[in-house]
Amino acid sequence: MNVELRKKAKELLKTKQVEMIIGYQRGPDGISATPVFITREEEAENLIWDVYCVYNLSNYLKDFPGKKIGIIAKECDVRSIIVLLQENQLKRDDIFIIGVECSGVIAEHTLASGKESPGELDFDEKCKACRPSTPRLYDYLVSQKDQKDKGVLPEENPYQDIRKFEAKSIEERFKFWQEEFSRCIRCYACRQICPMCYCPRCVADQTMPTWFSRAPDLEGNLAWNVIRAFHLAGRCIDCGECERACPVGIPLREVNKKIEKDIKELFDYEAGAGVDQKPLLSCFDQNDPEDFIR
Amino acid sequence: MNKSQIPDHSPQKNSGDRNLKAPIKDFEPKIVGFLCNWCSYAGADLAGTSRIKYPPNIRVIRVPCSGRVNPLFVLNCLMNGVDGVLVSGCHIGDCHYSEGNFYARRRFAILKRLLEYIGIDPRRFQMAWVSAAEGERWAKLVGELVEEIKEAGPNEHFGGNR
Amino acid sequence: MKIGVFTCHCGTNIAATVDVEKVAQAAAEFPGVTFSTAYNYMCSDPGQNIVKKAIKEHALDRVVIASCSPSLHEKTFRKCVEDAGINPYLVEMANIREHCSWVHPEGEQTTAKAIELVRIAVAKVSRDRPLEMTYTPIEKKVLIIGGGIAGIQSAIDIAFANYPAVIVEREPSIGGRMASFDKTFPTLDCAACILTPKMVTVSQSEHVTIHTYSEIEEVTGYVGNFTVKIRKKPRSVDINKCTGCGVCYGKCPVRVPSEFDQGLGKRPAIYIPFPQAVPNVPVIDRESCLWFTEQKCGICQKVCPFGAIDYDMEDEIIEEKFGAIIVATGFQQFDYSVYGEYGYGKFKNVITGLHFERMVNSSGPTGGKIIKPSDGKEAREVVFIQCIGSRDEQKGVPYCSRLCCMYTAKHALLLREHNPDAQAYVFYIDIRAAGKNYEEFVKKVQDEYGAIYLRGRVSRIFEKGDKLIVRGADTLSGAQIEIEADLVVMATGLVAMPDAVSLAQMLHIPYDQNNLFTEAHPKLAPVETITSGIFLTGACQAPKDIPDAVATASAASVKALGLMVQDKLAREPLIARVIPELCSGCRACIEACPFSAIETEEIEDLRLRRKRTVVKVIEGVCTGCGICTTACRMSAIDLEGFSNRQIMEELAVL
Repeated sequence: MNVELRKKAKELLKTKQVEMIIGYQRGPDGISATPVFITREEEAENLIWDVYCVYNLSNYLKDFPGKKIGIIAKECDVRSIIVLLQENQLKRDDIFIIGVECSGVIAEHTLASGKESPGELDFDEKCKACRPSTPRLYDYLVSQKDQKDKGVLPEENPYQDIRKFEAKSIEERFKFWQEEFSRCIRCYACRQICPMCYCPRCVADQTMPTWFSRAPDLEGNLAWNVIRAFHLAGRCIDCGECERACPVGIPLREVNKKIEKDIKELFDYEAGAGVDQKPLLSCFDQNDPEDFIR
Repeated sequence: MNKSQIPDHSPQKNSGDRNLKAPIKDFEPKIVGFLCNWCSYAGADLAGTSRIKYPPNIRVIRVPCSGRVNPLFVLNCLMNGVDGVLVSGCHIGDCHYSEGNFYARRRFAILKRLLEYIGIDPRRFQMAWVSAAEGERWAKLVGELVEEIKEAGPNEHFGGNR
Repeated sequence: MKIGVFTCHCGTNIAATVDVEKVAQAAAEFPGVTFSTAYNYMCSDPGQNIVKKAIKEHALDRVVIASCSPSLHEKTFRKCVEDAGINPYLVEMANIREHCSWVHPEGEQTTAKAIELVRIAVAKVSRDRPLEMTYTPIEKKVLIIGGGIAGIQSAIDIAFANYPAVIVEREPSIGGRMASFDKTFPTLDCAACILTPKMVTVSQSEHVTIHTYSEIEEVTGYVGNFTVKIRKKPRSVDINKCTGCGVCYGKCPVRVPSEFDQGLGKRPAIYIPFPQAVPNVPVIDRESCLWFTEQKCGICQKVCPFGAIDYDMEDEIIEEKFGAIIVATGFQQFDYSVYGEYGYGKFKNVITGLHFERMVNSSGPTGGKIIKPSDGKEAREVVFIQCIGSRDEQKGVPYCSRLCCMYTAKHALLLREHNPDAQAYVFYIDIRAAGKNYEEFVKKVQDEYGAIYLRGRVSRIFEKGDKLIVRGADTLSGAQIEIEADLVVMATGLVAMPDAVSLAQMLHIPYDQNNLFTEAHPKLAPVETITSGIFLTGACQAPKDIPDAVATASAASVKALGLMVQDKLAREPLIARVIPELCSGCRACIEACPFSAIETEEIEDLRLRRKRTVVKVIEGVCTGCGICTTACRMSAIDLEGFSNRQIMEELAVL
């Protein structure tokens, strides 16, 4: 399928349908995949798509306003593009989505284990709850003819771990997150990598008013991590980039997934479902649950 | 923050003994209530004009609408050692701006579950609908909140930098 | 910053439980406070003079009043400080009465709380910003959508005050539903006799412009400044040339069922809907006119002595500006064909109340004879069934349509008047006759006109020979009833117009689950909508009879005139404000704003050196609810008077 991918990329550049294509190339280690930005036809030969293409490239789209950009995107990436379209951060006409069929990407950290072939490697956690899928939105689809299904089995209950954690005592939960968040050094790598974190000035950086402690103390860290996740409510498509980027290994997906689960339960809402979807917190249903209100 | 007595009106706050767990019977919780101007604030006013007694632990922040209450306000309170936070607005269908409480309901349903998830006692963040005619309900609500938060104990996890 | 704190004893209202002097002393120590005092009644003239004097003597620039609820005296003290030369929005109130002295016992705790409340108010006032009232101009013209009795009355009232009104009516004539009624309950005035003079008044008024056969295409703008596109459908008759002589429709060879007569009579393809139509100018129904369907005939054009027939007329869109809009779009009848047990609307001798109105009208299609439509014979046994569609959550609407009890009683009376041998049977669930002389009227119909009222529902109607067998129960006697009827009249309920929702969306006004337009407040603002400058009258808001429709029409007119008489529209400055540098243009606020008070604009971003889209607040429309401020993740939209900095400052001193 890389042949087809490269052919399409060349055609798009040649016919000037796009000025640049954001995709993946093989990294210097010969195994992993790294982002590549190509503008010339011959560079299209470097493009790849396989299970090592972990990153969500949609984060880069906003950096080229007014330019026609092609992007290689799997289903989860496409959902983040959809959210960005909903929120008017991208213009549909400016992007050309080269959709790729995906049956899961590898867990990046296992690369260091010395295992090399895809068969030996673990799939990323996020993929375990996802079905092999075709992107819900694309301009051109590279079909998956020559790549056999890696057979990622969708977990029976995608929120099993969340529910297990919810069942713990309040003290245990607090202790867990207190320890996790205490490691936070407020480097904001999670924010930097997140396609949805595009605010001109994040509330964490504002001083008029200062919303919460800017120091890496418990109060500041907890407020930051809560509001980071809260501001992603109905927007996070679980690409997992934040957790991957976190240098101190805070399980950020566990917070994101909690909200994802709740909004599904409470409002039957799934982030990035479609371009016409209304933002979760800018709409309501007359019958939204209110059993928690006195 | 000294929890054993609520009247702390010295210009500089005393923050030295926040780790002292006060005996529950002496603990007077500090509760912040965000009240919409049109229903809940007026309901609290009515409790006043009706001279209905309730505990003095609540500090009311007047806002135009429950839809104005930013989760960051709630977090700020909790992180600063406030023992309980209440957001109160008009009953569904009565919002002065017709839709504000719908948005508040949705927003705080998520926040409430999230706070519980990270281990913050659910009694510390609550929501209520109180109409302008419900002075009695307001007084009763404050009484109940104070009792519940006394049971939950002081919010001693946070407030270290005050 | 020089903050003055003024603590009120309120006689003993505060002083009985709060040590007011102690509060004043404590307040003097708060950061920024340079003056603090207490007085018996702060709101009294001497009290206000203390405030004014202190402002001057101590050069205060912000003021906190510790007294009662701001809902009582916030305005008082805004005015007071303004008189002393301070911006009126640099004053805050600490509610130490309703929220403190009245609800807590005398003692240290209560005084301590009062001090806390003052501390919070001092913190807030330190972040107050001086604000100015905003003023927007007002277009001195009122748009009235709908030319029924409600719209007509509104136009008359507006015109009486010498302001221009424009009626937009979808049908070829104004008059609405009332024009097709025969008599009106409970006085039995002839509908045409009381409506026609109003139609004439409105059409002759120099202040009223009437666009018939026209519809609203687009509405933009806001209170004082609406821009409305009106689509004038092609009448095919030049309204300026036509004299209403009637030669054309006399010669037209086409006959189709008349809408005005509910299909009981026929009309030509070029027609005036009814004799008293305003304007008295025919319209060509292009769907049945031979010129348009078969490109032949053209008789009307040949016979018209004034050359008024214009087959080439096209849709015309006109654009006008208005300061206020009155919505008077009325109702439609409930479609009773959902009731299989009543023959799905297939039995010819099952008709609706509106059919009956036309039939009983002496200038109607039957000349006032009450007949069986199947064979034209006189109807003697007539069954009326109430609550058709009303109070039926399964197949109809949950509400009571309010007038069916009354018009059915009227029909039963008219039946007997037109045909003394006839017998009326009325099936009802409850009789709701709550109006002046209404109950008396229903009683009269029962006692003097012999109408038999049966409490119960009809279970089935079927045809037997030339009769209709009506089966039902009389729940009062428990008896099963079977009536051999000549005619069955359905008292169909009133429901929203089919395009109510699209109009509501165009106007940005809310509608309920029944598609009826929603008033701003069910009790205290029954003719307003939450969209400033748009008012409701008549049955588009909820079923109304004629007196109610007229009353709400005048009420809506007063509201509209209240805007018209202003030079400029003064708006509280306590509204949302965008900080463009922080705005990403995600439009979450636009989606959330219930008032459509936010729009996008392009700005030149100096930092990024390119144009980008951000939002801005439409000052005339924003109501200051602050919903946008929480929809905004980046805090790029703030609310004056309850700003993020003010609230965070309040929280900081807790």
